[in-house]
Amino acid sequence: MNITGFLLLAACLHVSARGYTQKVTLSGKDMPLEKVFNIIERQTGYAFFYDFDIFKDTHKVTLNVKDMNLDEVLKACLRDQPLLDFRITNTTISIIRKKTTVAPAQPTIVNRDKDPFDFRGTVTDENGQPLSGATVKLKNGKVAAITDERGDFKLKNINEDEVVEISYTGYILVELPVKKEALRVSLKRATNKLDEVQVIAYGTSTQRLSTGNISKVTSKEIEEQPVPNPLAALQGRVPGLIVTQTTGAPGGGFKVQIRGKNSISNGTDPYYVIDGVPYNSQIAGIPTNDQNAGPLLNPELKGGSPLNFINPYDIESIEVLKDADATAIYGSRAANGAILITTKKGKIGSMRIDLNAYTGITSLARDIKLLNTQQYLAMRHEAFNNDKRKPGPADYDINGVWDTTRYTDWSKIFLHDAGHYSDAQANVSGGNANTQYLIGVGYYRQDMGVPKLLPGVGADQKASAHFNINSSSSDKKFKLALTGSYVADRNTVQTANFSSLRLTLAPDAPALFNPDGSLNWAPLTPGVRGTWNNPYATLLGRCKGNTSNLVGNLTLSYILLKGLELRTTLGYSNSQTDELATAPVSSLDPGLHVTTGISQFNTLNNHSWIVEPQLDYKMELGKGTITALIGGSFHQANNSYNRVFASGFLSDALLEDIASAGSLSPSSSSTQYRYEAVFGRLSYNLQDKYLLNLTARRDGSSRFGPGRQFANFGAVGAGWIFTRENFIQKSLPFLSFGKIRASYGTTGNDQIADYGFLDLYTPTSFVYQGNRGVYPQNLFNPDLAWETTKKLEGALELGFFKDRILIQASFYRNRSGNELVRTPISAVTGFAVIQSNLPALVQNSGKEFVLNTINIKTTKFSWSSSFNLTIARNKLVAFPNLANSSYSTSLIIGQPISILKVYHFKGVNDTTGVYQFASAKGGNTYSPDYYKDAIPLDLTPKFYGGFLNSFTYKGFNLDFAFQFVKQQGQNQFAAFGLMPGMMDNLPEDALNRWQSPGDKKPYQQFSQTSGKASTAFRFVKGSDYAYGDASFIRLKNVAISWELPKNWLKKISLQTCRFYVQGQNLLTITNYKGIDPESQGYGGGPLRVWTAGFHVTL
Amino acid sequence: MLSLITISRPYKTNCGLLGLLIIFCQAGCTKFVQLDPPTSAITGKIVFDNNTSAAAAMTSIYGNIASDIDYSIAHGKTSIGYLMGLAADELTNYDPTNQLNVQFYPNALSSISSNGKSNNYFWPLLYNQIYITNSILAGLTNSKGVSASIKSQITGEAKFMRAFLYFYLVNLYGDVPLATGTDYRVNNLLHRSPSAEIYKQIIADLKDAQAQLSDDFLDAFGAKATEKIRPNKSAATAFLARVYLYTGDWANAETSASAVIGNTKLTLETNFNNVFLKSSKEAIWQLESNYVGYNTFDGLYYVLSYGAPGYDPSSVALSPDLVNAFEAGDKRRTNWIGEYTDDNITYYYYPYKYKISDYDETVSPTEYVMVLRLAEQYLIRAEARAQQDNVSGAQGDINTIRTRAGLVNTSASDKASLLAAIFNERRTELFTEWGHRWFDLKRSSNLNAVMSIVTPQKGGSWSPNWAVLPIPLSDLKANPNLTQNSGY
Repeated sequence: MNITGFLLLAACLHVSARGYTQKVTLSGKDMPLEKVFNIIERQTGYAFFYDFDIFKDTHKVTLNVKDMNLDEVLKACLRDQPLLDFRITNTTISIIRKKTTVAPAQPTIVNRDKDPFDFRGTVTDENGQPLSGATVKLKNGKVAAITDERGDFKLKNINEDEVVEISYTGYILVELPVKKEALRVSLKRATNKLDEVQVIAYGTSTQRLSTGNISKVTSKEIEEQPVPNPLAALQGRVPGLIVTQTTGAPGGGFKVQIRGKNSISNGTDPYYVIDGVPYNSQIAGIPTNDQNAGPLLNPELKGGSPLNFINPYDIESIEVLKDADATAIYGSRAANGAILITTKKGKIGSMRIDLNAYTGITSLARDIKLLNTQQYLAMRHEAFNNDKRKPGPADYDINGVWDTTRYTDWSKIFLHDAGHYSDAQANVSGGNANTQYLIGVGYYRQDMGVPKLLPGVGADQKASAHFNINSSSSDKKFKLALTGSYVADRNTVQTANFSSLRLTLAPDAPALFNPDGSLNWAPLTPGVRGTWNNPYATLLGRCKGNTSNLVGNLTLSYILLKGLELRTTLGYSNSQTDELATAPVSSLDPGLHVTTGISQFNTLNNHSWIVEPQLDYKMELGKGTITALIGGSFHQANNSYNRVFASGFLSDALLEDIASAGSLSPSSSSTQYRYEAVFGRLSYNLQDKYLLNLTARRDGSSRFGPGRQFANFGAVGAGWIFTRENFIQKSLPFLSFGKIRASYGTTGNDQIADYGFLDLYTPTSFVYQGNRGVYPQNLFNPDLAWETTKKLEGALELGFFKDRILIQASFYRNRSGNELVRTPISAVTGFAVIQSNLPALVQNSGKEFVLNTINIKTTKFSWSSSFNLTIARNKLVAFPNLANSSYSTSLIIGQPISILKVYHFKGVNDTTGVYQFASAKGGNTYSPDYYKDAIPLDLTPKFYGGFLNSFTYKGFNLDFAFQFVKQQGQNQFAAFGLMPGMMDNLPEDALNRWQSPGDKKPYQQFSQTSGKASTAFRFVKGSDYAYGDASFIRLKNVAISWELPKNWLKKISLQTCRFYVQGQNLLTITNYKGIDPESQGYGGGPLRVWTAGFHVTL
Repeated sequence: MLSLITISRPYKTNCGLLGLLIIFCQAGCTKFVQLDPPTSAITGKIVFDNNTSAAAAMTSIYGNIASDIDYSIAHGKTSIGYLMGLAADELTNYDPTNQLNVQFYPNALSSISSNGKSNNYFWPLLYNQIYITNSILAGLTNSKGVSASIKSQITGEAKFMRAFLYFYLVNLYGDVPLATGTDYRVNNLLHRSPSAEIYKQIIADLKDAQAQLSDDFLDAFGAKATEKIRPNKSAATAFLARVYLYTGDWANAETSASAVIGNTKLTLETNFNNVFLKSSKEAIWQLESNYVGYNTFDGLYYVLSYGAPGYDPSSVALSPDLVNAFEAGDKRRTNWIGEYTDDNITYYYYPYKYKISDYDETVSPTEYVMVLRLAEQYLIRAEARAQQDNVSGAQGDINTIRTRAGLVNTSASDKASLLAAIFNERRTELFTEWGHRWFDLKRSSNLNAVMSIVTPQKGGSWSPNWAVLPIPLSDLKANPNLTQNSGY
């Protein structure tokens, strides 16, 4: 079924499921009108707007209605209220005074009404706090004003029969009749998708009024998922965003990509901003372009994510910015999109204490079955028979040295224990009109079900603190916001050996321990080297990483004139990681006769500051509102690491004391990055109907050589809310919202290593003839410049039946040129790569669809769904002189840039029993030629998305989320290293091998020597046989909660109390041949997590 | 559309304001994004502006080829001696998991590894060092801050090293690109130069080195040194002798070898246990390994001190062929070959030129990596003389070596038998040193004859194409002008 068809069908289904007329069920005697309105508001979700003084002359009402239409109920309520009438617009109900009843009774007033007067008023939020910058305009569009810092406005020369619209970002728009007395109106925060606040670069907006593409994930969605890294909470929820978990190990890394790969070989990380402070996308010291080259000791954590050091519970919302309109203001750093993280803020009210805690277990989500000893030994013997050889002296597994009756399921020993997961959070918040505060503390601990020999290891632990203070002067002109987060993380997880070893270790390998409890090395004779590397040996060494992470932000603002605000953001972040790994003598084979242990000490440090002065101006212009922003940005980041390799310790007990080392071999690196910019944005909103947004930025980055540091970026975005046109409203009444928007603009990418253009010489780690050497680190390249991405987007947003069905369809095309790449070059140049700009053009195009529906909404039961789908394509559009470039064999014009060239697998030759591949010469070969025979294979996902559902019944809530990806990926060949037949265990389906001529089998003969079989095996890993369908549908999250009824809560004096059960990665439906289709390695991929917990508010 | 026109005016105003800000920023803050180099590195311009750092650049080359246990081409399991010894008939592999061993041993090299990545072998390391020599030579040309004597010494050493590195490239890979500058745009597109041209450059560099290097061994800063770990004039001459021999310039080979043999500071060690010590009197040039706790990686990886060969570090043993090639009573057989017997009374023989295998960081090293030694010069001169039909001269040189080994004088008395005797002598004298055996088999056109017997015994199949190594896949991808050696 094609996508459009699907969406239409889905829309129809929802329509038939539930009509659009709101039903009200209500009974009561002599109820004040205000109370009735409150009940209706709760049942229908419609908001009421009225002046309090209208109740002065009203009567109490008695009602007994069941499933009655909203307008009928309202009519019934107001039947006896001679002065009142109502009006329904979108989802608001305005209660107004009847004119018809007034006018004939008091004819003299009619004349007075015709005299124009100045209409004044004050606009506040729900707490009575003034809203400065709210727009107040006549519905006919003739006159408009914005409120000042006290929330006051004045419209001159107004007639009494006019109606005003009052709007403010993130609040429900209200329509009220003009009257002579000063108006005091409090706006309600919007809870519907279209009008809730979206955080954008240097400001806020709403989906309704935005000209850009912004996706929002709320704190509720994050809190429902037991994940320690906020990135994990985004999986399957944001169209155009792919988040891939590279390992299940706590503290492991994530790959994040927004709208495909723009850069041929460079950083594709989005730009992270936390409360306005730029945040590292990579652990300090790891070059962005080489995630395996970092200084981190634990290989499992290499490329580990800095977002691990942000507490998900502290997050209020995450906004993902994608198109040019939303991102161009970040200039050179936003080619790959931006992810804005906003932390929780204090709110007005008496002190509120939130406690949230849960605990649970983790396990491997998927695994693979391996050979048992019997099968394994048969495999080995068959290999020797095939090779017409006898086992050699080192073939301990079958030559009689190891006990061949032993069987150990290493997966069970190493990985199949349950891990534990706990998380506890406490927040205290509150405040008065001038000052609000929030203080939060949290603790998280997760360990993995891997063996441990030392106490207190194998876990990732985080302690965190978060605070926020907002304060304003009594005249509301000066405002201050201070936010800080601190996370202390301690990671002692050491799993890399186990996840890969358990796959390959022979099932008849020796016992781990000797009877006396010492490690068993199984030597042939005592005192000589053992016959295996005891996998538990590493457990006697320590591996720990301590990270402390501070992000602080201070925003100061002052309203200079009405509509003109001066604001300065000051940000600071500091992340420090200390790592230690030890290899004590006790962990080494005694047969090696090593007498001293070794240690490695790492220190990674990143600190950065940013200063961003800004000037905001808002004014009415013609019938619309204009908003202007102008600002500057100064940013500096320092990264450094020190690594010391220490040896010659006197005792294993002193391995953690660097001063006790006999000799030290240090290395270090220190880099600085500076960045400055001026930027401006101009937005025009004409009657909430026509929207225009212009952005410009000029950027300078220290990563480029003199004369090449600065570049200009800009974007245009426009929107037309056509449902605001009268003819649409009349002809398509079921369409409650419709917007067409488009944007075009440029962004850049400077994700290369610092000092990339300089020919730097670094000291050598060794000393020769008493002196250290210096050696060139890279080639001199003064011409490095920006990589530019031009983004084009068009979108259609529709809301049906009072926005119960919301559809968003976006079409984008991003084109990246002047590609900034680490170009592989011939080693003859002295180096394998050079950073350079390449005149190539890479295109990412795609379609994104989001469908949000409220399927059922009654007083007791509600069901809402959200579905998102992204269909993306990557293409190399142009590459001048590709044939003669370094990329001639790796890229093809018209194909994605992430293609792999692989041999085409042609099955097992049924005569020789070895793999064969297609040869360009025709026929098959067991040793293909890379240049002639390799064909392209595309690994970019074809489509992906998520399907989310939320059910509420009384106090019960059930949410579940599916994630799906259609893609090709590396299969189990990635995890198994040696040729089947050699001394490595295999997955069970390897038994399906060729044995004798005539056999038609998927796997070649077992063999353990060099020859045709080993040659063919060498090529099969680079063939399309080693890749296959890695599509999957994953039940990503299930959250069930139960909230205590209000009357129970009163008895125990709690505001809220909720119990819940949450599950993550519960079910994966896939045809993937291997362990996990997402991570595709030897690790198990994301862990399955089950937790249970509670949330109370005091 | 009306609304679009309405806003055009204020936008212009705003652009003006933005323009002003940009001008302000350009004038005032351009410096903000101009950074000094990082504190942990210096730029090329600074390196060649003073004696210390210029000498340090040269020093890095020696360390790069000798001090890295995972990449050293000079000794240990990644060295030319070890891997080409496996490729030839000198060593037997016992470790089926060592990726390099299982490729070199059965002569099953490939430009592509089992995971589809490029197999690079010695190529990138050699060219990386050549790049450093080229940047030193370029840097010194424009330098003002380096003193004349240091400039001369470093220039000489750089040229010597460039010749040394190209010698191995041309012998391992055949025709190779000749990079003598530092511009990557040029070097990335070089065609392969014929071997003869490479040799021309090697000889020119060595002659320059001879002219600029001192007779004495010096340290990095030109002071006299006791250790012979930087090349001096004798080293250049000795290496020139080898190069002349490889190019068939017999007369010059003889002259150069004679010059080295005539150097009174050099004498053949009579005690075989002293030849590979850092104090060796026959050492012409050595390398300091300086890897904490170890002497040489040859000692670490060859000596079977913990048991039968199997997994790392003891993965290899000498081939029975080589052990049997020694004549009875040869002192080299007893002094330079170690034995290990396991429970099954299987004998394993291992190279024992370097004696120290154990890790001990409390004792400073006594063994250095031998690169050039006097015994080879006798064998070079013997061969050059034999080729020039100087029978007695050749016999004399052979006998010098045989006498030291405790053997009787050679019975060879005509050119052909003398040459055969010399190659036999080279086999037993220079085994597991720097791939001599492999290169000698190639030079004497015996490679195919020997390997077509030996390779099948090792589990592979021989082709004359395997005489040279494959050019790395990554280079072929990067440089469209580069071609692969045939058969790969």
